[in-house]
Amino acid sequence: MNSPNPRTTSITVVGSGSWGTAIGAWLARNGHDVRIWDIDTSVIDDINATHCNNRYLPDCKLPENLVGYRALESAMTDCSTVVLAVPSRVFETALLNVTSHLDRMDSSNTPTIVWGTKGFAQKTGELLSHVAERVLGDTAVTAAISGPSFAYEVVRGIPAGFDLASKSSERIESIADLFRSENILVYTTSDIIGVQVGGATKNVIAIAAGISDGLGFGINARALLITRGLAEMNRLNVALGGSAETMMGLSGLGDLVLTCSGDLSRNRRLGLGLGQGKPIDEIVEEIGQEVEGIQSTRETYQIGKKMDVFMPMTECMYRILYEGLSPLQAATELMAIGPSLK
Amino acid sequence: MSSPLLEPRVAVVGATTWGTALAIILARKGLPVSLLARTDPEAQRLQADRRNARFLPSTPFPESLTVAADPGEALPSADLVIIAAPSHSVRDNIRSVRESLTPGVVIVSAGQRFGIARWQADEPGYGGDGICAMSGPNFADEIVQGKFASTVVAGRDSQLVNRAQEILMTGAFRVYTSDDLTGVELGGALKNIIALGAGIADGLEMGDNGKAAFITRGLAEIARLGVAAGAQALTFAGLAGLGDVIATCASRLSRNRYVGEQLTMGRSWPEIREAMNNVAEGVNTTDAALAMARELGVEMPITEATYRVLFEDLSPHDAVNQLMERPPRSEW
Ligand SMILES: NC(=O)c1ccc[n+]([C@@H]2O[C@H](COP(=O)([O-])OP(=O)(O)OC[C@H]3O[C@@H](n4cnc5c(N)ncnc54)[C@H](O)[C@@H]3O)[C@@H](O)[C@H]2O)c1
Repeated sequence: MNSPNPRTTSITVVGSGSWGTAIGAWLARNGHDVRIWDIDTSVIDDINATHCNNRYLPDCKLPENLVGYRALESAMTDCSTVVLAVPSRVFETALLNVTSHLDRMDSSNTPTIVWGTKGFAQKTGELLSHVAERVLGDTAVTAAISGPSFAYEVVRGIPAGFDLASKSSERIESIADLFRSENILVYTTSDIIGVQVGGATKNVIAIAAGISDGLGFGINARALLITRGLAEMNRLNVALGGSAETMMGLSGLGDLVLTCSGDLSRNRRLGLGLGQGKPIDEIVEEIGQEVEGIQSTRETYQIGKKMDVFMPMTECMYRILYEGLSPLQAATELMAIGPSLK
Repeated sequence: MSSPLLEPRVAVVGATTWGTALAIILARKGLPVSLLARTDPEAQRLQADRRNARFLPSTPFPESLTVAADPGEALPSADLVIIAAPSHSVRDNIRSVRESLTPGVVIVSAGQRFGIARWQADEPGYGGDGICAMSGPNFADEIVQGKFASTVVAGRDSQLVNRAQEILMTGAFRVYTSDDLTGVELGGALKNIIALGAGIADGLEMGDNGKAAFITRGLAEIARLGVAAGAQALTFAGLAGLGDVIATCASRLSRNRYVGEQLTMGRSWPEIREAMNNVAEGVNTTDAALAMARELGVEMPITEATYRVLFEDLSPHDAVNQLMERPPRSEW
């Protein structure tokens, strides 16, 4: 099916892992000319040779107009938009790399920078929008896109919905239009903080929900944990300046529901394993891919502490992952928190 | 612990799955509980089996649970009355037991239906102010196994709500309180619409992403209706909204989901109803919610599409397409 967008454009995707490839395929199906680049050229060569990404998203056909580039500079030539889909720990590195090519561009054509990366910046714990502002200055047009989205489904064109946040009220709708398609809904908001906090913190709660299931606690307990988890995520969100409404939307509640229930979620699988009493290293090895929640638990915990936000679930997950607290002990402690008799 | 004579007495009206489960966990806590059956033969059977052979066959009654059939015998001495009877309106249920109640008793409605808040508005001074609503992610069979669960009790009179919490809470059954009676009540009822839609999403193989998006939009929609009816938006992100939706959508046994899935297989609602021996509350709720939305001037595209699938032969596939075509804009 053709894109409903009258205008198609050249878009550069940075990162050709699961998410970059899925976003690239989606934008290419919308009719854009999409160039994808990754620090790891073997994935790029594979995409060009086979129109598949056999390492990250096996068994799915990629559109012909998604083309791999071995050099970022040529991938960015005359592009209107750059979409970053790298892990959060390398977000700043990748952004600096992109910027080094921006410097050589005519400043009237500076591309819009969008990211699908979720998480806090490594070490500084900043929101990625703060990193972007620091690196690009506050005149650059930027946007974050986030929502319940397993790459595996998006690359196959299965329906999904997203929030796209940008502070540029003039450009936000045209940026969202690049992504909108027959079965992808994109809502827009100016709350760039709120849209990022959900994606950065949901993995912590997904681990907790997985542990509860691994311990055999049942559906009622899982529903309790997810609901209390959302409240906890929202407290941090509000402390950081985001709006509560955003957290109740696709990038918050929606992504949390997906991450906690979909069996494709690596974080949920980590939790399940922990609940069944397996050691962390063994589970991570079994999963065979990076489990982002391990890092985001530490970051979320530290930010919560710094902002003095009550985050009992995050604290328990931190103690399980970094201090050897037993999952059963933690889950029992968590269940006891909450309602107190007045 | 105080002496047994001072323990609050509980009466549960309705030997339903949920009523029986609550009676059992409260009796296990040591409270004197009487479970009120609808008829004498039903009470005799429950007493003879010392279990609810129909709904919770593998859980024996604790000693402090007594079975009764006469409201005039069980209710006057109760400090807390839980209404868990399968009737279509809270109003009818309360009317049927009301003569037997003592003034000042805490009444908790554990059935998830519309009614209390509106009833209070319609008939002030009718005793309605003392009624609390209870709702949350509560699968009875997990609860009688002693697994952790949580619920919300809401009411306008905070003293009564706190008293209800004190009596109902056990080590594993965590009771939260709220002053948003309308929100808790509506959350429990309206979540069935989302469960039905989630069944449709599963039947159409919409994928996990699409289903998560659907649940989010569905909750936003019922929250909008709730707010127009005087509820607090955040109640719908809590246990009585999101929590209940998660549990209902996770259950393979949900009747609402079953109806949704069947609809995608080309069967009509009358055909499905014929083959079911149980009610799927989502169907009546869809109807009631839409009427309420029209009255309050609230837009409910998902509920409206569901209504048309149920009652106007719209195909589930077309319904989804129409929803996807709505011009996107800000989420709220
Ligand atoms: N996988 C999903 O379903 C999904 C969905 C939505 C959002 N996300 C988010 O997208 C981000 C990426 O996740 P992923 O699952 O695609 O990870 P991944 O591990 O599948 O892929 C990461 C890719 O980034 C590349 N990379 C690493 N350092 C780089 C650098 N400096 N410059 C360019 N490329 C570099 C790696 O070579 C790899 O190909 C994460 O923040 C994640 O939360 C993922």
